[in-house]
Amino acid sequence: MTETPSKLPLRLLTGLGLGTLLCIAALGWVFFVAPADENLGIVQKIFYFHVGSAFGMLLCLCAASASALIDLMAPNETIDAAGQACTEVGMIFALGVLTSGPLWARKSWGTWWTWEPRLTLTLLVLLIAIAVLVLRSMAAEAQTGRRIGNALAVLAAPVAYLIHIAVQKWGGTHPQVIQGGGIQSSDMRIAFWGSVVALLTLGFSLVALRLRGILLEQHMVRLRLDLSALELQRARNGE
Amino acid sequence: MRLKALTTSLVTFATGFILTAGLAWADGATVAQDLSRYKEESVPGGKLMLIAYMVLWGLVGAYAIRTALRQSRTERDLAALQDRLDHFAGSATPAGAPKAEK
Repeated sequence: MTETPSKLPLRLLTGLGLGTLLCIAALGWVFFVAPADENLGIVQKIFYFHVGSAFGMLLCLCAASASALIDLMAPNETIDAAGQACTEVGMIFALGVLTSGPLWARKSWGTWWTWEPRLTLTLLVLLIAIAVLVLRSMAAEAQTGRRIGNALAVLAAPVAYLIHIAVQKWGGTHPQVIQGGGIQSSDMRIAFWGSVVALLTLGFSLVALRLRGILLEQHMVRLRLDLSALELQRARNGE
Repeated sequence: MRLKALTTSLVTFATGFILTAGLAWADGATVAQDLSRYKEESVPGGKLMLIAYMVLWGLVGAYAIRTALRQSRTERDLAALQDRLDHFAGSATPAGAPKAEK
C-alpha cells in the first residue's frame, strides 16, 4: 500500500495565498498606476492578463505534453497525475485567453474573431485539451483512457510551439507587442511583467492543488480495492 | 472504455478540428487579414475590459473553488474508508491482502 499524500498543505496554501496577493497587487498596478494606451484607450488593459494567461496556457500544456510523453514511455502515476493537472489548468488559461482576446479584438480590430494563424491554433490547442480531459473522464477502463489521452496530449506541445512562432512564420493580424517593443512606459512594463509573474504563480499553485487532489483520488481507489479484498476474504471465511 | 462514448468523443473532436481548419482555410488564415472592413463603429472599451476581467477571474476562481471542494470531499471519504479498512484489518487480515496503514 502506498502512503497517503501529505496532509500538510501549508506550502500549497502559501503558494495559493502568494499567487492571489500578487494578482491583487498586479490588478492594482494595472488599474491605478499604469496609464491607458494612447490609441486603444482603457481596453488595452486587457492585454496584461490576456498575455499572462497565454503564457500560463503554453507552459501548462507543454508540461502536460512532456508528462504524457514520459508516461507513455515509462508509466508513472505521479507523472500522469501531474500531466492531468497541467492539462486542466492549461484549459482554464486557454478559455481565459480565448475570451479576453475576442473582447479586445472587438475594440482594436472591429471584429470578435478572425481566422488568423495564432487565433486558430489557440482554438485548436483548447480543443486538444478538452478532448484529452473528456476522453480520460469517459474511460470505463482507466488505463485505456490514460493511454489514448496521453497520445493526444503529446500533440499539445507542437501546437504550442506553432502558436509561438505563428506571427513570424505566417504573418496575420495578431500584434507582436513584446518583440516589437510596443510597451510604451515603465509603469506599463511593470504592470505587464507583474501580471505575468502573478498569473504564473497562481497557475503553478493551482496545478499543485489539483495534483494533490488527483493523488488523493488515486489513493482512495487503492484503498477501495484493499477493502474489497478484505471483505471478499471475510466472506470466504464465513465470518 | 465504452466504444460508443469513445467514438462519439473522437468524432466530435475530429469534426471540431476539421471545421476549424476548414473555416480558417476558407478565410485565408495564412495571410494577413484586411481589417479595414470592420472599423466602422465605436465600441465602448471599458465594458469590454470589465467583461474580460470578470470572465477571466470567474474562470480561475470557479476552478480553484471547485478543486478545493472536491479535494475536501475526497479527504472525508478517504478518512471514512481508512477507518473501515482499519476495522477490517484489526479483526482479520487475509493472506496476500495488503495491511492497512494509518
